[in-house]
This record gives sequence, C-alpha cells and structure tokens, in this order.
Amino acid sequence: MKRYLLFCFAYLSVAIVSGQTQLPSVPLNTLKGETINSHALLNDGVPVVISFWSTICKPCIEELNAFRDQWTTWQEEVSFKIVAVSTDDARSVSRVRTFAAAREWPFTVLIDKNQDFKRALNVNSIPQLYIITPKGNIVYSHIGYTPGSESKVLEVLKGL
Amino acid sequence: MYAQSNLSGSFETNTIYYLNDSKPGIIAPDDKLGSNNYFKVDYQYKKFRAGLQYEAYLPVLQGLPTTLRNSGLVFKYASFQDSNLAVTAGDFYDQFGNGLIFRAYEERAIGLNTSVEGVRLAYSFRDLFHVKGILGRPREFMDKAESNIKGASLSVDLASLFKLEHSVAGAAINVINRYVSYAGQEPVNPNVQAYSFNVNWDVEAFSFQGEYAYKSKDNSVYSNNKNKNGSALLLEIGYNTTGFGSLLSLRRLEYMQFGTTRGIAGVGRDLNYLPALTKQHGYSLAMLNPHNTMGNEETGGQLDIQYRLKSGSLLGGKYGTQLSFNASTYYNLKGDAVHGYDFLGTGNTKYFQDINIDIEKKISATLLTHLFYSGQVFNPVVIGKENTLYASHVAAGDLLWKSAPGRSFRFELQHLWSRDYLKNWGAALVEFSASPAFTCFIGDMYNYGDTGVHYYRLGGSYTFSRTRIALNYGRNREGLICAGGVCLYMPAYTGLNLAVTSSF
Repeated sequence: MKRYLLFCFAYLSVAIVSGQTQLPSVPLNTLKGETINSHALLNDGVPVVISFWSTICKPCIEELNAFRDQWTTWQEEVSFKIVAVSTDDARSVSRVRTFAAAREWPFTVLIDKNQDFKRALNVNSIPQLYIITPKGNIVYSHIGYTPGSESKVLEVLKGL
Repeated sequence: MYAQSNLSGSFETNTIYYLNDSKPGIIAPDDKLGSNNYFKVDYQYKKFRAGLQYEAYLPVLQGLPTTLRNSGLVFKYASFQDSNLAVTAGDFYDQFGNGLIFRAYEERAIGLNTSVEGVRLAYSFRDLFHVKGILGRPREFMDKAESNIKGASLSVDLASLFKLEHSVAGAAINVINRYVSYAGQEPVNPNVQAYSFNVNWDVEAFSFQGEYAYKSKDNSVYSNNKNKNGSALLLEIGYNTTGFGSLLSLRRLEYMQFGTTRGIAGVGRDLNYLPALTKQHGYSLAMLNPHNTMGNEETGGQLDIQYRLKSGSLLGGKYGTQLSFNASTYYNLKGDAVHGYDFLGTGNTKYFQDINIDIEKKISATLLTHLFYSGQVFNPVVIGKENTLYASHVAAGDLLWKSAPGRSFRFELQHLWSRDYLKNWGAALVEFSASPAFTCFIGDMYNYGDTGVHYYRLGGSYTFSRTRIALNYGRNREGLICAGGVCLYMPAYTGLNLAVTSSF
C-alpha cells in the first residue's frame, strides 16, 4: 500500500506542474498509405477536433456518427475540421477504409498504425477527443463518449 | 512548429479486490489483491524527446503472466526527430510491414509489452525512399530476452517515383535477424533470418496490398523443434466508394511463429504479430469463443462488406440504415509435417468460422437500434484442447434511447443457442449515461444450458477532462480474453475492480 501511495503521489506531483499543451509532431498515414505530419492538420488555419477511435470501439463509432449527423448544421455555425485518428493495428487496419467509406464520414480519417501519435498524446483509452487551436494549442480534451457530449464540443469551438 | 518544451504523461491503474465465490467454485488468491499500475512521463524540448515508463505489479492481476512482478523503470528512451531523420536510443516500439516478421508493441490489458531496447534510426530521402534500421534486445516481462535482434526496412513511394497520377503505390522490403547463443550438441543455428516483401497499390476506389514473408529454419520449442523454413502470404483487395466499403483478406501461415527466444512463445514472448483476421464483436456472447491464430499451420480469409442505405430512401428511412456483413473461415494446411504442405487448398480441420450481419437503424432523433446475428464454428484445438467443433448461433440487439438532452438509456439483449460445450446462454444489460461525465450499468450473462451460473456485473464511471474513474463489481467467466489481436486464457474471478486512467 505504501508503494501504491508513493506511486500516486509521484503522478500528482508531476501532473500539477505541467501538461501536454501543444500538438506533438508525429507522422501519420492517410487511408491510401501516404505519410503526413500531425502539424499539417493545422494548415487550414481553423480549429481541429481530433478523435481517437478504432473499428472495434462502439462508443467511438457512435461519437463519429453523431459528428456526421451534425456536420452540416455545425459548419454553418463555426468553421472547424474533424480528424478521426484510427488506432487499429494490423488486425483491423484494412477495415478502416471500408468502415469510413460505408459510414459516409465527411471528415478526414488518418491511421496511427504504430500508435506513435496516441503515445505522444498519452492516450490510454479511447475514444479520446482533443480540440486544437490553429496555433497548435490543446484547449480541450475528454475521455469517453456518452450520447449528447458532442454538444460540449460545439460549445468549446464557438468559444474559440 | 515545435513546442519549446513540454512535460506530459499519464497514469493508469487496474486494481481488483478478489473474493471467494462458491457457486462457480472461485477461490480468491491469498492476498486478495491484484494491481497493475503504469506511470509514463515524456519531456520534449524542440526536436528532442525523452521519457520513461514505471510499471508496478502489486501483484499482477490474476491470469496475466506471473513473470510480471514487482516494479521498475522498464521503458526509457531519448529521441531526436526532424522532417527527415529520426533517432531513438533506449526502448522503442516499431513494426515492419504488417508485422508478419516483426512487431514491438504494448497491450496492457493482457500484460503484453515487447518493446526493444537498443537503437533505432530512420531516414527519409525526398519522401521517396524511407530507410529504417534497428538493433537491440526485446523485452521479456520485467527483463530482457536472451536474444539480440537486428533489422532493416526500405520502402519506396512508387507513385511519386514514376509520377503515376491518381494512384498511390509503394513497395517495401524488410529483414530481421534474431540471434540466440547456443553451446549445445544439437545442430541448432543461433541465427534465424526473416524477410518480407510488401506492395500496395491504390487507384480510385480500388485498393490492393500483398505481403510475402519467409523465415529461415528455427529450431525452437514453439515449433516443436521441427526446424523447418517458414512462410506467410497476406493478400488484401478492397473496393470503397461513398456509402459502400468492401474488403477481402486472405492469409496463409506455415511455421511462422517467431519467439523472442527459442523457448516457449506466446503472449509477451512473440517477435512478430499474427492476429486472428476475424471480426471482433461488441456483444459478449459473440466473443465467448474467439479464434486464436495457429501461426505454424493455418490458411483462410475474411470478407467484409458494409453499405449505408441513404437517408430519405425507401429502405434507408429518414436517417439512413447501416448494413454490415462479415464472414471469415480458417483451416489447417493441406499435407503434413513429414511430407510438407501444399501451397494451395485447405486441410480437413476447420479451426474457425463466423458469418455475421449487423444492422444499425436510427428510428428517430431519440431512438437508435442495432440488430445482430452471428453463426460461429469454433475448434478448441486452437487453444490446445481437443479437436472437435462447437457450433453456435448468437442473436443480439440493443436500443439507445435519449430520454432527455444529455441523458440516455441503453437496453441490450443477447442469446446464444448451442448443442455443444456449455450449450445455451442469455444476457441482458441496462446502461444509463448523463453526458459528458457519468455512466452506470447493470447486467447479467447467464449460462442456463449447462452450469446454471449467472455472471452478473454492475458498475459505473465518472470522467472529467483527461481522467476517467471506473468501479465495477461482479463475476467474470473464465475464457479467452483478446486485446489487440492477441488472446490470453483468463481464469474466472469475482471481485471489485477499480480502473483509473489519467493523462496530463
């Protein structure tokens, strides 16, 4: 128990002094296999919503479907882009393209096959969502998806 | 754009307090507790990055390798990365091609971490050629394996090189050498070489990728000391357009298990990655008997078709309807170990089959339904048991009801019909969510065909920012738990489970 408490203390000590505030620079793959850097996601000069998902994560897919259903309405209210980053590995990564095409997701889908981007942002469980400003600052993050939580994303985007 | 400096990290604990439970005959371990803990810190300064991961097993959760014991700084690294060059000294994860000959990765749910400690160098030349070299020792639980590996990978962007318009095309060649010293009298080569060649081609809606791998003679425990050359072939063909996606995957494996040493392979001791190419279902009864890849002798494939009926159409209704069809089947190879195996065809032993359909339909702005069917055939020989077949049919459905803004209920029902093994099962679950932070659930999985045991569970979670706390109580059945394509046989337990994950 003593070691466990020390463990928790060490975590809290580090957590309160700093944190991941900037989008890290990591190579990612497009659905066709081309390589792009995560910083290229900022090139359009608009806020970016990054959602980590996989084809075997049901709440992740519910979240992305909710974004699809709201996409047209939201784009009229605020300018932003969504990037769905798949963490599928060799078992299911080929299904990512099938998945995205069949669901008519109107946003960018990228692949983090070796999970380097996921590790760089210290994502332990999915879905996990980040909102990034055009300058690369992380202003919002959330683990998990519950129906209706997408409205909080719109609220944050409107406040930028 | 690089941040000047940045300190970030994460913490994760998965702790279970075990209880005795007379009905299924579960006896809790003497110290009652199992606790897996991970603390990771990364520091970045411009293009430099360094970090470490501390792991503490106090003690390790039941069912995971008991060689994960005590605690230690088991992962530490320093790296430099700019647009063309990446250098890492210390521990790293990586993969060549589809992982047929090499994959170093982490899967905490099953206590797996096969990171390599050594040096990794990657260089890109005009975005046309990418070359990578690695040198090091694979991790084996809290220590390092008694082996050294070295590897190289070269990939070429063929579409850019030959200025192919409207196409993405590439080729890669990969090689890995594993050295394990040997001083005995048997004819054992201390070096095993593995090579793979990979091509991919995308044009318009059509996609193709193929990888062929070859492994030299490997006199090892996991290949029953047969000392044979190994090979693998993976082919994938896809056609994807708006509202329609399809993929056909075919794979043949012959003596392709590749351990970090010549001893026992398996979870935490594999150098390559041979996941089961089957669909992982979200319904628990459809995952009672998942396939486990037979890396030394298996052939088969998977077909995946997904289609969205347009919203506003006759069949799609107001919100559209999502249809998914998936089928997979795997057999042993034709031939035998003495006379050799045929390249084409299948043997007489079926390992696994799954034909499944999933329909997702949004009925109104507040109601969403799923209907699911899966017909499965499972051969327990893939988990080292007798060669026989268990046939089952699983039907399931769930209904999501958004009762008020930010409030929702999910009702789930499942049933499994079978005349084999544990026969019939039923399951039900109710979940309530208050977005964006709170969820709770209560559920039961009941084997009424044979044992009469209820596997009840209840729990909840609370999320704030990048922290999630979940507390569950219940009875968990024994069986194969699969994470990241690798499966581990877990014992039954009853207990209280605290899971916390947080990043900063």
